[in-house]
Amino acid sequence: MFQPILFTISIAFVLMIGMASCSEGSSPKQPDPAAPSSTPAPIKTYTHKQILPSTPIATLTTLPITKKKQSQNFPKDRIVKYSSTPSPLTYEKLTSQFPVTIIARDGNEIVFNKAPERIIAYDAAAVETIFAIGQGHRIIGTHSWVSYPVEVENIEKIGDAFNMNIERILDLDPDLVFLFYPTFKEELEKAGLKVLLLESIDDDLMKMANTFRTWGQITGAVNKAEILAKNFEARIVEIQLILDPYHSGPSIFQDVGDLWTPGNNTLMGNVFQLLKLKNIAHDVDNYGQLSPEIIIDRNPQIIISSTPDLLYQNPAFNKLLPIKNKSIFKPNNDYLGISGPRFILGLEELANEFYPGLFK
Amino acid sequence: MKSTTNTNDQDLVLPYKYPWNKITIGIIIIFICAVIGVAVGSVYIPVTSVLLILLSKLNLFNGSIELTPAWHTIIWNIRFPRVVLALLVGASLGISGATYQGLFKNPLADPYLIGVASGASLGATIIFLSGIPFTYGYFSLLPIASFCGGIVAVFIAYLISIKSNNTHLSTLLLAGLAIGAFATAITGILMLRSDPDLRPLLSWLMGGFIRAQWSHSILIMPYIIIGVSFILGYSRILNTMQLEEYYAESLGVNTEKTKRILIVSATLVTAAAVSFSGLIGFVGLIAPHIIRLLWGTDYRTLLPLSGLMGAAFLILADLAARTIVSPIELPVGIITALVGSPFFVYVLLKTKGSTVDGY
Repeated sequence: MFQPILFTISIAFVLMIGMASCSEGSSPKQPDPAAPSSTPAPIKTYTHKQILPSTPIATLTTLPITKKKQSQNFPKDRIVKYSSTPSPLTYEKLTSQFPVTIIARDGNEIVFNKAPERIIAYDAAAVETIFAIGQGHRIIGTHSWVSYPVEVENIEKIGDAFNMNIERILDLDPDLVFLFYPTFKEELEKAGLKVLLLESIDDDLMKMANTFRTWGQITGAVNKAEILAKNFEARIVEIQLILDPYHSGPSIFQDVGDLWTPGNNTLMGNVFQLLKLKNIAHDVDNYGQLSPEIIIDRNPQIIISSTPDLLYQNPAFNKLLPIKNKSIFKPNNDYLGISGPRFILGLEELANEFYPGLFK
Repeated sequence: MKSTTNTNDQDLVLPYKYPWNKITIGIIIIFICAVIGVAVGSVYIPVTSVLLILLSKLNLFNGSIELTPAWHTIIWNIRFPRVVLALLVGASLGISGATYQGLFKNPLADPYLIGVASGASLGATIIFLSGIPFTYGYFSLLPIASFCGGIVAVFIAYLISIKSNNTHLSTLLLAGLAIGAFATAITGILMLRSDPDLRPLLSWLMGGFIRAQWSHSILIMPYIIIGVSFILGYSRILNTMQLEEYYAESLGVNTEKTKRILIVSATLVTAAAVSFSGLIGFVGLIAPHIIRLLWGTDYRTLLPLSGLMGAAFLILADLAARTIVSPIELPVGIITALVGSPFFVYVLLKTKGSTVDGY
């Protein structure tokens, strides 16, 4: 009971400081919650306004206390775990301190004596994060499926998501190669490169904020990364608080193509749990192709799919409500498909779509 | 003629009795498989309800079906069309596989090995990616595009084998293999170059019946009927084709014409099967061999029984694919290979004494 309240207060508090220090010291501290950060975004195409809500503190502080009482009915096994309970009461303006030690996916420690200047980031989420914290100039290579932000056009593409031109990588002489999956790790390490793989965030949505912080530590932009992470966490908490009085929402089926669907132990499954949507594929491990008769039997109230036409065309499904009403929701793939700074936009898009009027 | 055994001689001499009893047994087995296929699934529906739903469809019963519309949909719009499509595809692959094996006198010939299926799926992929609407009511461009792709692949292989002066049956097989690999590569390039939004459409290449609808069976039925009737009509001549070509010609068989008709028919049947269910390996290879090992190499018996065998096998394989790890489905190709190969080895060992020759 005590922890969420403390958590919320601390988040609000930290956000206030965070917003104020957004200008990285150039302007004096003026914690005026009503005024959005006036700092121009370091890169024109990447607008922080898109990521940062205009008045997040106002919404957070006006949340009525009465809802907290109701939250006692909250299911005991809280589905969304707080893997990263920040200690924000002691938050001060951070200074980057090199050497920095990062724990990689395999548990090994990777030490950075200074911020890497030539990064090959083989992952769309990493590229977006690095740009969002204003360090995009460090990226010298990525893969051809990365298309955001616009500056990526000028960055060299070293293969597609599943293949890479290792000779070209060696030629570019990067001081850090970030990978999303370990296929080429050993080969690159043998060639004497510094390779980084971070912990998978698939099982826990909240770990995404830690990834932002890690990138801040690596590149030295700790403050911007902290703001990004705090903002992410605050907006998640906001969704949780608004949904707190409600026990369960509608049931959902997500078709990611040919009836493949995410189970509960995936990032999308996590999103559904946060939004209190009942995933009809709750007994699917990771991703699986759900049997059509199971879909009909479990009768989802919401369907989301990026290829709705295939579902509309199949006569077997035409008695399902979302198909009868032609209301299959087509989410913005760029948001929920990439676990970067825009992920929260995708989350809020779903929240607005399925709880109309509840969120602003 | 050395390889011709006594039994084959007798078959040619004695008046042939069409194997009606075996075919009847085969049809009964298929019927039982189909009933099991409709009655069992990942959602439990009592057998009595299944029966009532089917009876109501035949206008023999008007009862309280309205109480369970979901069950009605599951039985009538999911399981039943699936079983029927699996039956048609299995029969097509079994018959065309037996035809190719007889034609090329090669035990390894099957629609996937000689490039027909790869060519057919290339044709279908092109139609998918071109963005033209390919279904018009009960007519679809998809089987036709598959057929064009398949026939072009076989035709090129055929030209290669005529150009080279080798014994052209093995050349035909090897050329078909090369063409098939080439077509698969082109399909891969097209998929990589395609619009990411269209990629989910292409998962159909993986093979399976998860999308099966009544319209699919209706759409491919005419092609299968035409192809299969030509093949069955030529089954007696296919027997003579097992001899050296000059013997066959001395019996009055126009071998070139027979080859062309049989290749076109078998390709038509394969293309129809591929166009809605994708690539499902192993059925066309295994079914004819099992029949051949059990009941001999007379193509008048072999062809229809291979079709029945393929149909029963694929219905059961699809049943396993959709129930083993419920609520998830497995690709049916995994089941056909997983169950098919040990069973095939068993039959090989069991019938050690008999010969696999006769191509």
